[in-house]
Amino acid sequence: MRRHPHLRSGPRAARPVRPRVLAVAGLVAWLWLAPRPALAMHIAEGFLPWQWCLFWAAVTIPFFLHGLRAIERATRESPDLKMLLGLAGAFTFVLSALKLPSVTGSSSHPTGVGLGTLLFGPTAMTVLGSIVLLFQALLLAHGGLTTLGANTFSMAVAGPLVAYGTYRGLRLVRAPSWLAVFLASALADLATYVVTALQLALAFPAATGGVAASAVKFMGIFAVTQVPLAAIEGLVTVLVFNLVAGSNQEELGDRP
Amino acid sequence: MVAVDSHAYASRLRSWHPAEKAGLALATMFIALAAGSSLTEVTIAVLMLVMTVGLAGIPPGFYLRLLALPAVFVLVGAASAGLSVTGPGPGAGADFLVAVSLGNITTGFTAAGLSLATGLLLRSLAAVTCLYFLALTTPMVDVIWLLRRLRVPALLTELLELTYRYIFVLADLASQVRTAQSCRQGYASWSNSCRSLGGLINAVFRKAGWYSRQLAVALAARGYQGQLAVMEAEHGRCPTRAAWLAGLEAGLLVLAWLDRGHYLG
Repeated sequence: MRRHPHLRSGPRAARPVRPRVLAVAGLVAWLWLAPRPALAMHIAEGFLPWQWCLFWAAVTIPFFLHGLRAIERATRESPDLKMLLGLAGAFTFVLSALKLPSVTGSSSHPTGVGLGTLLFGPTAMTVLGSIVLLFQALLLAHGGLTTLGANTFSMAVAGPLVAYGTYRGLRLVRAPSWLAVFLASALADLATYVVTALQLALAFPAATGGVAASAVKFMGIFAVTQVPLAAIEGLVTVLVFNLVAGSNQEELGDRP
Repeated sequence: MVAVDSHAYASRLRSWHPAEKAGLALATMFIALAAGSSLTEVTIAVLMLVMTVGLAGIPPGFYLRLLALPAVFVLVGAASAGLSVTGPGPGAGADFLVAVSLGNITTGFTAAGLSLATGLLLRSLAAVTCLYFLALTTPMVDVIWLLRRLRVPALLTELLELTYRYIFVLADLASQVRTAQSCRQGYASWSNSCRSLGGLINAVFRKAGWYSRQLAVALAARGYQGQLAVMEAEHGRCPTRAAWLAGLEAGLLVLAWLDRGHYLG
């Protein structure tokens, strides 16, 4: 018998993942101690010198083309995949516009990199991520066109690769599924911000100490907000993943 | 989220050819980035503000609220780029204008750091106003139309179109689910919020899968062969306007050349 999907999501959500309780307690303590201005992760329009804009675009384009070619090959075999990927792009966009629960009242958003990679794979995520970033620039005034290359590299290339590597690696050593999902999405979130900090450090090296000193400076400033956010995103991704895995495969349809 | 796009549809510059608007925005943005002249950057910011608010008729209040969005990143980013940290050693704390010392580590702004931060602020402001000109006068449909004209692979424009269409469907669904959950105290506590958000994402994900299968069925029923063929809008070109805009860009280039070298940062 098939029940309505929305009716089922309530009781399912209560399925306990025990270590979560500890994690929540730790998080709450951390959140109260750390000051948290709402900070965007994307590099704003015009922030990078044009040389660096071109550099990051040049670095990102091969990954993007590789992803596009992979999708093209896959859609030739099953044409319906295109519709699924279009919906996946819209899903990732909406995901990144949702508000994460926060204790201090400031609003923050998930990157969706971890969940997107686990659901759609790192190659497709590069293409979907850059589409989402373009829409975020033009519809949400978030990020920018000149910094699209740099932002795509941190969010849609580095993040998915870290998420994929972490998940695969942990499953290989037979780590529990929830731990692999949690670490994959939390580390993908962190990797995104570390790469962003490095990009800023490369563009603006410190007068004394150069790029390394500058990287430490940028990471220090962003770490305050990003470390707790990464943990929350990991937590929410575990919850979502439990729900998705617990739901009827027939209802999900084929996933790429 | 819908606001920017609906203003773009309603703007008075909607009838301009998309290539003219995109060309203007991107060329001006490039000048702002590469000019190395603070006067040019300020001119660009004022020009784009006047064109977006005055000419296109975007409400000033909405525009200012939009400008505040990247302000947090830009202010914090520019401040951290300009911030200098020195440890103990020769030349420590030599030329700080404002500084705080903790033990033997000094943190503060030097004259060079402050001018770098100001330069970054101005450059970002100029580029952001260019982006907003494009975003607030050109609906996404026209941007995708332009990309198709520029021979971007069909697969990419089709993915863009599908994503664009379903962003609104899924965002609507997400907000309905959120309202329903809020009514049941779903966001009353922190642990409730986490659980509800998980449920919300799951519901949206499943519905997305459902929509994609329904779309596939609907297209198959209409003889889908792998290409999404749709009717295209027609856009009239206006050579006089294009010439005016090119003249404007030339003027900005001349200004940048006259003011070269006078750069903060």
